[in-house]
Amino acid sequence: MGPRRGSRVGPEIITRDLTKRFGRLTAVDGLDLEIPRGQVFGLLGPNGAGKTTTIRMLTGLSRPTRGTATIRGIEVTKDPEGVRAVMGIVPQGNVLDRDLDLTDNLVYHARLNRMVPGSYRPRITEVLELVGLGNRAHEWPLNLSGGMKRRFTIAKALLHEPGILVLDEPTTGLDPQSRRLMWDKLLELRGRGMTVLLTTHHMEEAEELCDDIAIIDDGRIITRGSPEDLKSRHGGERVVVAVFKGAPPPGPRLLEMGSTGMKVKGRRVRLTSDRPMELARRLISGYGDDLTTLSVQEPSLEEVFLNLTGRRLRD
Amino acid sequence: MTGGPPGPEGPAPAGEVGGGRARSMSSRVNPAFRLFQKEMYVHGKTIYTEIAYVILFPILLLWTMRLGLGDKVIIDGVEYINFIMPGIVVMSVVTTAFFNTGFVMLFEKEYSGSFQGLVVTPISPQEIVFGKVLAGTFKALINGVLITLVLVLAIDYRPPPQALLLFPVLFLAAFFFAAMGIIFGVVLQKGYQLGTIGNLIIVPLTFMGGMFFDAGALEGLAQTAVQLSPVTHMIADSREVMIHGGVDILPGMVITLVLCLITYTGAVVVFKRAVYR
Repeated sequence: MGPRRGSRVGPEIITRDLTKRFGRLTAVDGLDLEIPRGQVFGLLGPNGAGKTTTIRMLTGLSRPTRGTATIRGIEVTKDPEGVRAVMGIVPQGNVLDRDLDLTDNLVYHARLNRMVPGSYRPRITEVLELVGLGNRAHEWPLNLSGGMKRRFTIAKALLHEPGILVLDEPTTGLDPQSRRLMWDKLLELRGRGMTVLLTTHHMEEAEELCDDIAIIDDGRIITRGSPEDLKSRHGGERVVVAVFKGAPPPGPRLLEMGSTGMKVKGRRVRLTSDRPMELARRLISGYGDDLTTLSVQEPSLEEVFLNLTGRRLRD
Repeated sequence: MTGGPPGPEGPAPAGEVGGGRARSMSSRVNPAFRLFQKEMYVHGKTIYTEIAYVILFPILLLWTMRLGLGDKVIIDGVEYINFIMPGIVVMSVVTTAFFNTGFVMLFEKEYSGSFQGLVVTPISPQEIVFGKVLAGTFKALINGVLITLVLVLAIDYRPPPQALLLFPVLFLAAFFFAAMGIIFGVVLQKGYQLGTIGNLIIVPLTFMGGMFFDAGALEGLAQTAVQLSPVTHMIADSREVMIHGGVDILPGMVITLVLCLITYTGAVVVFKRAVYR
């Protein structure tokens, strides 16, 4: 066994009406997705939105109630083991075997993936170096920090050189420094052309890593697009906030500079604009000496989610 | 380790990930065997913690019996110490198979990351259950062999040639209870629950199955009840080959084999339902 014959032309991951019910609860409802090769695709949504259930169906760990999922031409329900052979899966929790050191953990994982010693011995060194654990090859899992454990989980997933990397909440529970390190590693993989599917409820993570995002809530995709596209379509206004040293200039003058709307509160002026950077440049050019601060506020994915659902992502 | 046939899509273009370098060298060894290998490797590192119990418990039991009963008690033409030996071996094997497999499954499922790490690999639920049941069987067999050696040395037991048939008897006994261990390890969530099941069901089954008395001498409903227990046949067959030098174990082994198939199938079903929801 090993990765099966599949189509290199066309999307890597295709779902049609993918649905999962647990009794009366519909966890995932009619998901239609196509994820092309080499893309970093994010499923962004709050806890309980159906992200992990979607991942479990795509990786053959949960049978859909309805619909289909195809990974590189392999239908998941017909050959779940074949699907997992072409994927590297990083589950939400850590997957270290505490009875084995890091190298033995990887040897065991390689053997479960039917790798032979000639291929996995050098590969073990390679993946440990890739995630920054090259000097801890014989360390025991209990001695690793949380960030190291997550990085090691990625190393394990990459060991058999999968074409698709699937990560379920890859940085949950990590401190900011470890999170940043993890992002750097994932961006490195993106640069190598790997197809990546990740789930997250951190909007910053989705914005930083993803080429394309589907926002999911209550088991349904409510919108999809690149981070910029989503903010442009659903993010609401782009705002320039200027704080003047004294009284602000008259309103008509500010509107002439390209602002579409204005709110004044004391020395603080909030200007909306379709071209906030250009407006900011004009304000600096015209009133640079009169300004205390000037900031450009782009809409965030949090605002996108709020505008679409009426709730915050973190509720 | 043998390599597999070349991958269907050939080698990767330079710089491309997931292009199949590893796929062109694929092992034919079933992942279930790899799982078994790993479990035995880990067991080997900690077996010293079990040896003390495996060796001391039967010695203490038998020396106590010999001290108290001497050669005064004869059952079925056999001194009582020799009469209970097969039951001790069977009890050790079935309790090891049940508790070891059950606790490993429960611990990995509830507390350790290794279970998640296992199911995300290209190994099927049937292969996982088979690998774990096989590992539990062999761990129990090791204990059975050790205890038998202790008996040979400690109480001057001289096994007849037919005692070699003990291995298939104990293998099936261990396989049955290892599969039972999987079922309860999957269904239960706390270690003490497994201990309760084992101490209230498994251990009494061995006691009532003829470990300390001749189960065949019971009458009426009691006889019917003990004959329904698989442990009764395991102990009877062990006693037949270890003590009486007989070979009439086929009916008992057929019953145990059928039960093994039923419990293994049940273990796979329960495992799939719990893990692959």
